[in-house]
Amino acid sequence: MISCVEEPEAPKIEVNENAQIAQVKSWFEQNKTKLRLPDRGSNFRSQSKELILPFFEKEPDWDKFHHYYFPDGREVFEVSLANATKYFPTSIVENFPNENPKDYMVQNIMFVKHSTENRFDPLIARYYPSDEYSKNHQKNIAYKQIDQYWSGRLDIFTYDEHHFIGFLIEEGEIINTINYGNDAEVNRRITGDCRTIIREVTWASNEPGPTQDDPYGYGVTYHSILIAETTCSGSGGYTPTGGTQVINGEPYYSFGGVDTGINCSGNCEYIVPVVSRPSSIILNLLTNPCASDIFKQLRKMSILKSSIGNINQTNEIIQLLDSANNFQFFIKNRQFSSQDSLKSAMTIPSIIFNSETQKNEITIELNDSYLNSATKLSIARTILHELIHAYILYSGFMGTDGSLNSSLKSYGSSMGIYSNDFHHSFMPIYISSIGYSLAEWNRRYGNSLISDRNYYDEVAWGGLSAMNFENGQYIWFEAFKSKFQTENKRLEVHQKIINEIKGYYDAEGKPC
Amino acid sequence: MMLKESLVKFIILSSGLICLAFCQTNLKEEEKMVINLICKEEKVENVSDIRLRWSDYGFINYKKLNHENVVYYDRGEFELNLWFNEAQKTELTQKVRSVKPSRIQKKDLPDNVKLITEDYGQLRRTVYSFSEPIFQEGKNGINYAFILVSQTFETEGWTKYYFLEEHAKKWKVKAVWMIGFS
Repeated sequence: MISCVEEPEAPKIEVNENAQIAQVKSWFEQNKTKLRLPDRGSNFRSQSKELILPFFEKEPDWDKFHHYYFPDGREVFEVSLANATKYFPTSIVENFPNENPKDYMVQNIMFVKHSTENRFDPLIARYYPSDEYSKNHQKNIAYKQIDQYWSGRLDIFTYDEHHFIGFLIEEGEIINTINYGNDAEVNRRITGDCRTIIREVTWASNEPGPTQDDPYGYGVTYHSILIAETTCSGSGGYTPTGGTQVINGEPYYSFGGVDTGINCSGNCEYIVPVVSRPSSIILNLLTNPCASDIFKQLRKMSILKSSIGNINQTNEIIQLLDSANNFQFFIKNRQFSSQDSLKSAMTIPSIIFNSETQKNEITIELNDSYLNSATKLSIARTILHELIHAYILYSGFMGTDGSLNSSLKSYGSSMGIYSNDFHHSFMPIYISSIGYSLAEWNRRYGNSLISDRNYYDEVAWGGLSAMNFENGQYIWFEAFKSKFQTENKRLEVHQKIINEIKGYYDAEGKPC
Repeated sequence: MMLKESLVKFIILSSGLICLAFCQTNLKEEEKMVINLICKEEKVENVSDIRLRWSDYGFINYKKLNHENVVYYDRGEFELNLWFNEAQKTELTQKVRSVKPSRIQKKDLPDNVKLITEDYGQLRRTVYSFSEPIFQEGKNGINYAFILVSQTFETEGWTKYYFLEEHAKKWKVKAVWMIGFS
């Protein structure tokens, strides 16, 4: 979860958000005992019309929250419920057979501010990843801030645990919606590509329950129900009268649809809010298909993280790579202006506050001219270089000249690593990590036939080798100079980097 | 009567033309001083004759000059609202939108700085580029200037946004903001 402590938010925003979350908390404390739907005589055991799980009191972790807006302008505060009872559909267990679902699922409570009244009716959001990447990239997940490549299941429940709607998500896109209800109701809703089957649906909680609900004594309580499950492809699938409304071209879901919905005419103590579609943050704005694929490959294989433990890394570097790997930034390509046309890429260090997402954003730009000539290996190297650069900047470590070299130095200093150690120890280990990551990426996705790991380590010095050329000689960065003792070797390594950047004949990587 | 009116018109028109010529010369001098100062600050040796364009970096209005949507840890001197009133802000928007880049000439640079007029893609040297500076008087009567500076060495480099002020006919750097680097 994003917490205001973890992210370097602008102070004024933090103060505002903290004041607002205090307001939500106060409203919740005053109203939490009233947040129940009228009893409609159904529960998870009976021949019910609904899937209703046992209610439990919720204690949100108010320090960890997201703040965003639905497209219709309603404000949402999504707060962590990490320490509460966790519910999960047993169908997801097979995704990670040897792990306890409570450890990898995310459970939040969404407080949706009413458009006219001063109330924040809550919903429960439960996120279940379906693969390793998604499991590792949901630390900051929220209903409107899902990682672009996250796959899994998201279920929304009312505060008192009536199933509202489920979404099956594949790489940030909704591929199916799921609703539970009785057969007769569901049939009326079906149009187009919806499919209904009557089946036994089993949900479980990580809390031990009565023996009949925990026949194996696993400390897990099972809740099974024979119910009609309707799955519709995409984010829609219903007619507007069947549960989905369209406002300004945007689909919204209302609890229970028209037939069973709760119409509050002034007296309702809990109004189940209408919700918009969940959506992802599109980080990859690359229009160059080759570069876009490389970015996706790097991101999906958590490549920086994968290098941890494989080489002799120091804690400082492990920490850096791990954090950079989970860091969210925007990446795009464009034709740089004539005076910048030689540059391969730029990190835009200005952190922009996006009022729509209420988040600070940082952007990396790749130059079209560079993408047209560089090898895939060079592009992968540049993305990693800029990724680390962007993360370091975002964390406030701006070097004296803004270069990655000086910013890494600034980061190193914060860890107590100074001049000599920086050049002779920190930098070579850092480069070796990037080299390892490049070699791993190449093994899985790249098309270079070279298997010598040294080559990847050498290419990893890109942008960190030469700083200038004076009186007929290169001026090298200190760490590069220390690593390669002879001028000939320095020139050879530097030329390899240039070969990959320019896509010269001698490059080992293949064109994009 | 007719003669008197014509004379007044002539005087106003002439003084306007004289002022225009003088002001432009004056601005050219100011520009030279600004560029000279930055050459000294950045230890510049080579300058491209082609200008950076403000619009290429998204500078299209006062809001962008003031970096209003940028989260600063410390905006410091870059809080332009401190220095400009509403009319001056409007003027700044007009200036940044209407600036027409001209080529830098050798006489605009310090003697020790080389003007690069060729494609420097194959040159192994660090080359700097400048935008047209934008000058604006502030609400305290002090003159301010804005200029973009870009450095390129092989495939690496950066772009900085400079904010300067004039004191006793001398320019000094008030603030610098890095707007991009590789």
